[in-house]
Amino acid sequence: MKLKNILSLLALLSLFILVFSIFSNETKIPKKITKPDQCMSCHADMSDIDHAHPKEIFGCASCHGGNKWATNKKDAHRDMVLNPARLEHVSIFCIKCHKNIIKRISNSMMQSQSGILNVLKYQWGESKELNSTAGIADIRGDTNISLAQNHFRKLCAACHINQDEKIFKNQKVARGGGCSDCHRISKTKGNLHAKFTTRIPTKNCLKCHNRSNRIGLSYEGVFESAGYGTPYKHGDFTHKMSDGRRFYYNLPDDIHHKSANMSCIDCHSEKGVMGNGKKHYHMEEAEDIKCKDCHKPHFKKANTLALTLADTNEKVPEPKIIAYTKKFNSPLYNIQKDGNRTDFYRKIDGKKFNLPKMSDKPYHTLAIHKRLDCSACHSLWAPSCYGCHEVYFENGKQFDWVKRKNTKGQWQELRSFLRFENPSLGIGYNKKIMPFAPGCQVIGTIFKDKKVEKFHSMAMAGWDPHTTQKKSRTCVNCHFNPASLGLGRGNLDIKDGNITFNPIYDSTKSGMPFSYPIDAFVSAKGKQFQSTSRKEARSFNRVELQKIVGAYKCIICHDSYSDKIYKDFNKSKKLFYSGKTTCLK
Amino acid sequence: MSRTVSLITLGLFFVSLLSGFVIIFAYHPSDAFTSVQKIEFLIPFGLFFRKLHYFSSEAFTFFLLLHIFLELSKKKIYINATSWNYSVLSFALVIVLMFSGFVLKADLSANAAAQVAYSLIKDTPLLKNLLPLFQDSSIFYYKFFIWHILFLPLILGYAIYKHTKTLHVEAVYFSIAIGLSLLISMLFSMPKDIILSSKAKQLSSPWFFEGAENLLLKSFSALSINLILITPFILLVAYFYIKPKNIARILLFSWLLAYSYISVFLS
Repeated sequence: MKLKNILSLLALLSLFILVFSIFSNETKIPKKITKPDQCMSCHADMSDIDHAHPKEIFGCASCHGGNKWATNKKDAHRDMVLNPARLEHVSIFCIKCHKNIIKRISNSMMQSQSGILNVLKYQWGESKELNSTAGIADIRGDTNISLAQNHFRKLCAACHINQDEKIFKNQKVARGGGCSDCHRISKTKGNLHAKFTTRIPTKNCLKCHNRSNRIGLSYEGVFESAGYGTPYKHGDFTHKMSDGRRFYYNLPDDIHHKSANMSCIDCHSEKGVMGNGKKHYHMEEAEDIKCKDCHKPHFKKANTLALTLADTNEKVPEPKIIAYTKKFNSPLYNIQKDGNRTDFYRKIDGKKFNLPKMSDKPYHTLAIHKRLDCSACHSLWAPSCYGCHEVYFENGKQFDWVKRKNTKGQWQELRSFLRFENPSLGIGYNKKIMPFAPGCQVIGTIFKDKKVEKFHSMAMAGWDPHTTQKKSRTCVNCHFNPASLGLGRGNLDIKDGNITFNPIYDSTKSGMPFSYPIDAFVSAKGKQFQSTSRKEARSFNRVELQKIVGAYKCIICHDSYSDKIYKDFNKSKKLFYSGKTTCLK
Repeated sequence: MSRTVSLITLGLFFVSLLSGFVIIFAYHPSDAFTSVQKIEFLIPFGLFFRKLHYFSSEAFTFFLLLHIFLELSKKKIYINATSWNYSVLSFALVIVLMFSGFVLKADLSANAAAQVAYSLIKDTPLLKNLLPLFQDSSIFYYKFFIWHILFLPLILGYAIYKHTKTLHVEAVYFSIAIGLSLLISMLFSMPKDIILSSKAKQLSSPWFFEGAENLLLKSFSALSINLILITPFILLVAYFYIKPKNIARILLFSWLLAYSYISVFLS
C-alpha cells in the first residue's frame, strides 16, 4: 500500500476518533451547577456546623479543601481533609478569618505543653532552668531522649490539643483534633455535621484537666480516691470514673459550680485559654482571670471583641458596659453592668445571676492578711497525691504520644497515699500565700538490663485547687494545723515560744530514700524539705512559721472575724500594747 | 518517513494552536486556577479542549524531538544555516511555551515550577532581566498569559516559517495530527491539578524541567544549571558547523543521557 493511501486511511480514522470524542463522557456537563460549591450537588442535605458558618455561604470546600468545582467524587475529594480544625490545616483553611486566633493557639500552652515539660526537666534535674524548652515542637525530632522527656512522651503528651484523636483505643477518652478538641460538641453522623460552639461545656475541658492537679475534677466536687474502690457501695466498688480505671469520692464542689453550675468558660477568658500570642512557659503566665476581675470588677464600654464574642455565643445578651480582666484587658462580656447591679450571664445558656461583690469587711482589708491569695482561705480542700512511685522498664515498650507509635521504655505509676483535707500553705508563684500539694513527689525505680537504679524528686506545687467555698478556712485551721502550715500530719505544740512537731509519717520505716515525712513541706524550724516548680515559690520560713503560730495568743479568744477586735485591728493592737485591754488580766 | 514526521509535527502545532485558541476565552488570568477548574468541570467541552490542547502540545514536542533525531541521523544537512538556526530557535521557543502553559494552569505545582524558574534566573546574568515576569503577583498570570497566547506563538510561527519556508499543512496531515491527539487524550489522563490548599508532598514540575529542579535541590548554582539547560541548543547550533558530525552527535547524546539520569534518579 502506498504511503499516500495509508495517510488517507489514518486521516479517515482520525475523523472517527473526533466524532467518538465529541460524544464521550468528557464532553458532558453537570446537570446542575450548585452554589457556593459543586459539593452541594451531593451534600446539600448536610447540616450546618454552627450558626457562624452556614453552608449556604461557606459550602464544604472552603473548610475541607478538595476540588470545589469537581463534578465527580474522585476529583472532588482529592486532597480533601476530614478534620480541617487540626492545627496543621487551620493555617490553610481558616486563616483568612481566624488569623489572630490561629497565631495565639499555635503558641498556647495547650499546644506547646511547655509547662509540663519544663517542670519535669527541672524537677528531675535535667535542666537548671524552668524555661529550657518551648515545648513539644522542640522535642518532636529528638533522638537522644532523656528520662524526663521519655516520661513526658509516654504519660503526658496524650493531652496535646493537636493529638490525633483516632489513635486512642478508648474513644470515650479521645483527645486532640486541634480546635475541635474544645469546640466540638458532637461528632458527624450521616448528614448531621459535627457541631461546633464557643459555648464549650466543662466536659470538654475535663478530657485533659482530670489528672495531675485535677482542677477539673475538684471543681465538680470529685476527688480521685485510692485505687481500691473503697468504701464499697451496695457490695460493689465505689464511684468509677468514665475512663473505667479510677475511683472517686464526692466532696463539696466549688461554689461557682454549686450555686450557678458555672462552666470553666464562665471565668476563663478566650485569651486566657487560647493564649495572647506570646510563648509562655508556665500556666500563670498565660492565665488571665483573677477572682477580683469578677468580684471587684472595673467596667468599661464593650469593645468590638466583646460584641463579637457575645454574638458568637448567641445566648448572652448584647453587652454595653462590661468587666475586663486586669492582666490582658480581656472583655468579660458575660459580666455586665446594669445600673447599680452587676449581672452575670452563664455562657452555656445565658441564664442571668446576680454577681456577689467582694465585701469590705475586715477579713478582706486586714493588713496582716494582705499577702493571702484568695485561694489560701477559700479553698476547702485539694487533691494531694503523696509519693508517686514511678517504675521504668528500659526494655519494655509503650506508646509514645509524640511519635505516635510504640517505642522502647515503659512506665508504671503507683502511689503511696491520697489526702484531700487541710491543704498545705506556702508562698506561691505570685509571691502570695496559697495552697500547696505534692507536685510531684517522684520515687523512681529504673529497671535496666542487669541492674536497678533509683532516683527521687520531691516537690510541692502551689495552685488554686478550684474548690472555692464562700466560707473561708477558720483561723485555727491555718494557724494551728500542722498540715496547713506545711509541717505534715502530726502533733503541733508550742513550748517557750518554740514550735515543736511530732510527725505521724516515718519515711525511714516506710523505706523511703529520705528521712523527712513525705507530707512535710518544711520542718518546724523552717527548713524546706521539698523543692517547688517555680523560682518564687517556697514553704514558710522560720520567722513566718513563728509569726503564724504565734498568733495563737489572740486567736485562742478571738477566733472569729466578727470579733470586735478585728473591726479596727490597729487600734486594738495599740490598746493591747498599752495594757488597756482585758487580755493580760 | 522524515518528511511525514515533519508534516505531522507541523500539523500538531496547528492542533495545539487552535485548541488553545478555544480555551483562551474561558481562561481568566485574574482568577486563573478557578477558571482552569471551570474549564475542566463546568464549561461544555471545556475538558475536551483542555485535554486536546495539552496532549497535542505534548505530542508536538515529542514529534519535534523525533524530527530532530531523524534529521541528526542523516549524513547531510539539506537546509542552509539560517533555516537551521531558526529551527533551533523554534525548539527553544517550544520549550518556553510548554513551560508557560504549565504555569498558566495556576495550581500548586505550577506555582512551584514558577518558583523554581524564579530561583534559576534571579542569580543568572542576563536572564535576571526576566525577573519582572515573575514579580507582582497580582498581574503574574496576565504576563504569562500574554506571552503564551500572543508573543511566543507569533515568534514561533515566524521561526517555523523561516525554517520550513511555508506554514501550509495538508489536510491529511492535519487530520492525522488531530486523530493522534484525540487518541492520546482518550487513552491517557492529564496530570491532576493540585489545589492551592493542598499539602501535597510531591509536586511534579514539567518533565523537561525535572533535571533542573533536581540540580537545584542538590545546591547547584543557578548559573551552572542554566548552562546545562542551554547546552543542547548551543550544540545544535554548533552541529551545523562542526565536522565531523559524530563529535556533535556524541556530545548531544551524552547530554541527553546525563540529563535523563539527573531527571529520573537524582531526586
